[in-house]
Amino acid sequence: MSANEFDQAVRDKYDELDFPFKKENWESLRHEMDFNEVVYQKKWPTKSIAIAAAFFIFCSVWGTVLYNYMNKETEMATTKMDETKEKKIVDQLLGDEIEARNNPNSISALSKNFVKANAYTKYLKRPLVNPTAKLVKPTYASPALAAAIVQKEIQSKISQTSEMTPSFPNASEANMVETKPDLLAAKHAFLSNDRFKDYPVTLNANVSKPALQLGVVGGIGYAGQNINGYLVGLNTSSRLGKKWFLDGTLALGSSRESFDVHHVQIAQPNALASKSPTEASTTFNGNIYYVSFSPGIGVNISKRISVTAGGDVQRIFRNTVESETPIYTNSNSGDKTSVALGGPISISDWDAGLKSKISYQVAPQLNLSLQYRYGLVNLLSGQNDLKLKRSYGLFTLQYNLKKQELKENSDKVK
Amino acid sequence: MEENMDFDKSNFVRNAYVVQDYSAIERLNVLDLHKMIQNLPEVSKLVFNLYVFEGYSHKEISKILNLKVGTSHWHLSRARTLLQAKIAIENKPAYSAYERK
Repeated sequence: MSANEFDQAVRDKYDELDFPFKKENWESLRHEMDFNEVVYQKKWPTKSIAIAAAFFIFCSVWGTVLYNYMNKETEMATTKMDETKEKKIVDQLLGDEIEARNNPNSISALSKNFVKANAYTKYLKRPLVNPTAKLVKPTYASPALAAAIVQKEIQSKISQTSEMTPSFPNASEANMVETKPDLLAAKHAFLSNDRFKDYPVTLNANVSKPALQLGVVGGIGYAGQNINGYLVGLNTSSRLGKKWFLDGTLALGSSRESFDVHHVQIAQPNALASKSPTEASTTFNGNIYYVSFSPGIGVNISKRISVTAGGDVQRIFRNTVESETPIYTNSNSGDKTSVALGGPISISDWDAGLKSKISYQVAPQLNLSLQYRYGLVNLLSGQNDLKLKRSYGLFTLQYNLKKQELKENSDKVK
Repeated sequence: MEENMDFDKSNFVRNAYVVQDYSAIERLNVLDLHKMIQNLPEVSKLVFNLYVFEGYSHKEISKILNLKVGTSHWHLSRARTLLQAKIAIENKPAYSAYERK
């Protein structure tokens, strides 16, 4: 029986139907036809979205490059400024040095020792214990250069002033001369002095993440033991508190989907009639292109490691998957025969799932992440027995646009 | 096996699931057939109805349903295949179709 004969047989069969005329049925039908609006399927402007996404990613990447270039320029300018400040400090130190030589019992003589010790920390490279505060991280543009300048200039000044004051006072001598209340007063006067206003030292410095972070994300997906896709997009995170933060990723991706279907063959194909085939199996394959949005909430479990959990919604553009050649199997002898039969299977436009992520910060602006997505929706629309839930792993690299900053919990040394 | 593969493949594809016995449809109750058609997947059912009962061509169906012509062909083929499988099941109720592996 050919296809046309089959169609004719179905039509003939329907001719047997005898519909009794009922006026209310006709009225109902007419009412439906009058008032039912024709609903057209709204199509997404796939190409426009893809072009916009590509343009957005292009701008982001170039924006990142320009941002870093400008940052570098700023750093170079800052370095020059720091050198100027250091020269000023050196001059101040030299001034104290000379004043101390001239007036060994003065407050400057007492303070000079502390300032001198501070200057030494430049090339000792270790923190100095301050009577009132702990110096955590002295920052100099070029410690070695500053130390060299200090040594050279001090030596030249000493050689100039050695004829005037041949003896060099030390702290113990100064302490011996000063009485105890005078010493405390001198310390107080020294600490309240404004001499360190330009001194580039911060106290109790803590590393903190920016309140709003933007990043460019790229990665590959794993399903089973194979790489099955890729993903490129943008990530943003917003701090909620000391540890918690909100995280969101908008990405463009693609994945290769494959699933097996097993038919029980009822009617025997002509060519295989003698073989009595009873079963047929086939594999459906297709590349799926999607835009995903993954909001989530995360927690920093250490300085470098964070964990995020949330949802994942995807709009799928390619909505069919195609089958390979089915293989008919003879249940009696086990013989297999391939027949080109099958076609596309429609899949849903939308997919939803749960996503978890663990991130490790390998550099101030670079994060490595492992993600797992658990599919909640059966993508095969109109299929009762076939299921395709997309669960896969992702390995991503994220480049953050903002660096981590030093947060100052207290004022600079005064 | 070689001998069996020697056939017109396109014709075979068209007829792969075709019910051999014409009387299988004759024996069927028309209401059962109607129910089978109603239970087809939505788009395949639409294409089948438009092609078989309304007499539209694939080109016209593709315009009406906003499909490609090839997709319309595929849906019609799929509707026939499923319908024939269901008719065959009706005659041999021991089997079930589209079983997940």
